[in-house]
Amino acid sequence: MSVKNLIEEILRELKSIGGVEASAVVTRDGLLVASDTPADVDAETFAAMSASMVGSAETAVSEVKGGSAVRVIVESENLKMIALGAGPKVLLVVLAKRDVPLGLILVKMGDAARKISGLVD
Amino acid sequence: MIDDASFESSHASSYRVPSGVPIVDSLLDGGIARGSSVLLRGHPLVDISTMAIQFLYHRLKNGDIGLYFVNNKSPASVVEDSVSIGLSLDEFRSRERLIFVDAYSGLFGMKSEEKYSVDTLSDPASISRVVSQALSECSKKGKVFLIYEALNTSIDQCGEGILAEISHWSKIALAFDSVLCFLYTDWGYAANISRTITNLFPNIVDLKTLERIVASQVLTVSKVEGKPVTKNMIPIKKVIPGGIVGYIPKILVTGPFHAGKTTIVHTLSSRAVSVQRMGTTVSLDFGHAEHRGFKLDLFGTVGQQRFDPILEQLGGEALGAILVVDSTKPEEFPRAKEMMHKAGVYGLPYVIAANKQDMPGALSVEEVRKRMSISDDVVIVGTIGSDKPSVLKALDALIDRLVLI
Repeated sequence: MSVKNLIEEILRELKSIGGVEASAVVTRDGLLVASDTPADVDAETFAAMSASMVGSAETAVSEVKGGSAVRVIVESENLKMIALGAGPKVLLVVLAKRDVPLGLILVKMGDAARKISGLVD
Repeated sequence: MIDDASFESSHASSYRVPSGVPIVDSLLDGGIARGSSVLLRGHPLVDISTMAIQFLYHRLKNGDIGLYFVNNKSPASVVEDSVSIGLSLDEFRSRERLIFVDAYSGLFGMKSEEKYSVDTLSDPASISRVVSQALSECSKKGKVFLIYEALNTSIDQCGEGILAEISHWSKIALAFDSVLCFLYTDWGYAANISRTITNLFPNIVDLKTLERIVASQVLTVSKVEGKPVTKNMIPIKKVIPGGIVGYIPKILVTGPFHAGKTTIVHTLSSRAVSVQRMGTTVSLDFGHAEHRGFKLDLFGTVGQQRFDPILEQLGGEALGAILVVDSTKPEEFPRAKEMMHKAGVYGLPYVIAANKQDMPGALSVEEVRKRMSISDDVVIVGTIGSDKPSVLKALDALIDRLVLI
């Protein structure tokens, strides 16, 4: 099994958590590694923009001496989007239902990120 | 039939027939020669059947007769696979333009429903008899394109004796102008078998996996018309519909503020998004482009100095870059070179788009080269951001640089 297949397995597992709708692993410089997204989502564009968003957030927070950014959470009209670093190379991005509580998702994302980090580094 | 077939044969150089996969054809100098053969060789776990179906589909569309020898799955599942990549072989099969040699059903003692079938799979001579017969009979109806899937399975079933039969089929192919395409997954056979196979085929296309997490499959043409070739490697990706295409996941479009990067990304792309606020890009332009059989993703960076930290983050893993400069503003040329440096792509293949050639006072390409002190081996193209032909010229030049690594 390739690394990509293994990461896809981890993403599939994330989907079993209540409220999680889609997920992707992208490199910090914006390339798609693996995704579990609906067919009408352009995963490459999503990857590039997620990386750009996290990069911007990290830069912004370090400019104000905030230390390193842990995660970026976007709350939108329809959903929540959570981006989390999975080691120095890649990010894990999860889309969840808007009104779902984040506690369990964040814990599970942490576990997944640790595994993914081990796979790609 | 009035279709591409008559068009092709009216061409003097028609002894090479396009495979229908542009990245392969460009490396094979236009296609595979009639009367010869090509080996499609894959690393274990690399899908080589998809590309074979692309070849076959294209040849069938151009009026050839398809002959498909298959020993590792049923003919029905070959047709299913073709449907799943959007290149259905079903219609050709029902019109008897595609004929199967079933060397699979016999494995399970089942009676084959195909016109040709092989029952004794452990005997090279009986395989050879059926293949020879099918080749010569089908050649009476037209030019044959044969797929042999899979050579490694035959070696497993009847030993390397099968290799001796291939030269016999090649003679039939030569006589009838057929093209033979052999699929071979290299599971690590003995060195002498690998050597024999490499010597046996005049054309070899390799599909490999690399230990990378993105763009991890590559295509290399390692032999053309009997001559080994080196130094080509094209990242590939399977798309549906269509099959295998060249894939360049990252081309950086960079340059100073207001040089026209966003316009160029949008002009080149079939679909692009930009994060723009107050008329300027604040994070990233991203676009998909398709050109010469490649799928390319373009990353347009932000021009102003205050965004440089993001430029450094997003510049990684680019395979090439287009440096856009405003030809009317030579005072920004040093900044342009600095940006290439910051994005970490200095040293990668790149081309320079001397943009805004339609503006008064635009410097000529030669003048830009002199002022930026760019050596002659870097291509500089004069462009007008919204004028597609001029911008495509820059992309063309970059692809040429990328393919011949």
